[in-house]
Amino acid sequence: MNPPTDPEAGALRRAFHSLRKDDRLDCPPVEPMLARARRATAAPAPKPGTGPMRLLFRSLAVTAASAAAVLLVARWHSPAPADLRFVGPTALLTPAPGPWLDFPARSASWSALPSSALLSPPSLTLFPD
Amino acid sequence: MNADTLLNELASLHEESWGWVRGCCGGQAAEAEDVLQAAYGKAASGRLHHTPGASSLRTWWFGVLRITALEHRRQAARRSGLGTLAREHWQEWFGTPTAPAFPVDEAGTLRAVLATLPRRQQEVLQLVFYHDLTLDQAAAVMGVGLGSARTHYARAKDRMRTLLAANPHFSHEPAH
Repeated sequence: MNPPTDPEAGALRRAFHSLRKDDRLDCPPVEPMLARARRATAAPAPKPGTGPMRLLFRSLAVTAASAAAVLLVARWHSPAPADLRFVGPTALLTPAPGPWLDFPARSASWSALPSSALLSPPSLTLFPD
Repeated sequence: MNADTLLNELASLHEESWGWVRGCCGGQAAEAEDVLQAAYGKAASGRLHHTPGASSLRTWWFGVLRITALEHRRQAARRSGLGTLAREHWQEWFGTPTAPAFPVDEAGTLRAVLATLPRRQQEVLQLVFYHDLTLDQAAAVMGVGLGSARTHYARAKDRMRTLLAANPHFSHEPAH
């Protein structure tokens, strides 16, 4: 049913009329709003490096720093010999020597290894005399 | 139509735009002012283009205002999601934290009653009875089909008739 010909709509129309009167009372003036809109459009564009790009670079830096921290902690907890742990950044970047460096080449199986070989700290002597 | 011409034409619809935006914002005047300002900003930026043959300026502008209000409400909900959640739980567990403000005038009562309806029903009622749009035009503003707008209109009208009849502010009988 088309609303203007709707016979049941009288009460609603009257009710909304009071709402319209109420709205008209606190309607903000149009000119200041339009002036603000025009001013905002005429404002210069933000400098490069601010806004979303800045956020992106900041999050990249945080990610890189946290990744470096994780690598550092992981390296310190790896089974590196004690004398190499605190010698400096070069040692930190070298791969951690595993216990297999101590394995005698002639050992045929794990059971042939002396128990001390598994428990003792690994050494870096790759080619013993 | 360039941005400046468009703004000048929209100025003539300002009062109606204000009423519509206020309805879209649940009667909140401060929020409605922000939304209307944002919509004028869009128009001033030249991003909006109205094609005269497709719809009237008023219908098109009301659609823009409706979408801007929805965007604004969505952003606000995202910003204060945790706060809203906490407030809802507070009300659920401990009752209303402050005494509710009962509207004392007819307009305030109507706003409170309207707020109990679903959003689409509020929109169609406001467009038809406040802005005197036909259901065709209301459907275009709301972005729904005519059949859907008719359904919302019929349900909203039934609901409002019941709610207003129970309210002492609206004691007058509907015209038959």
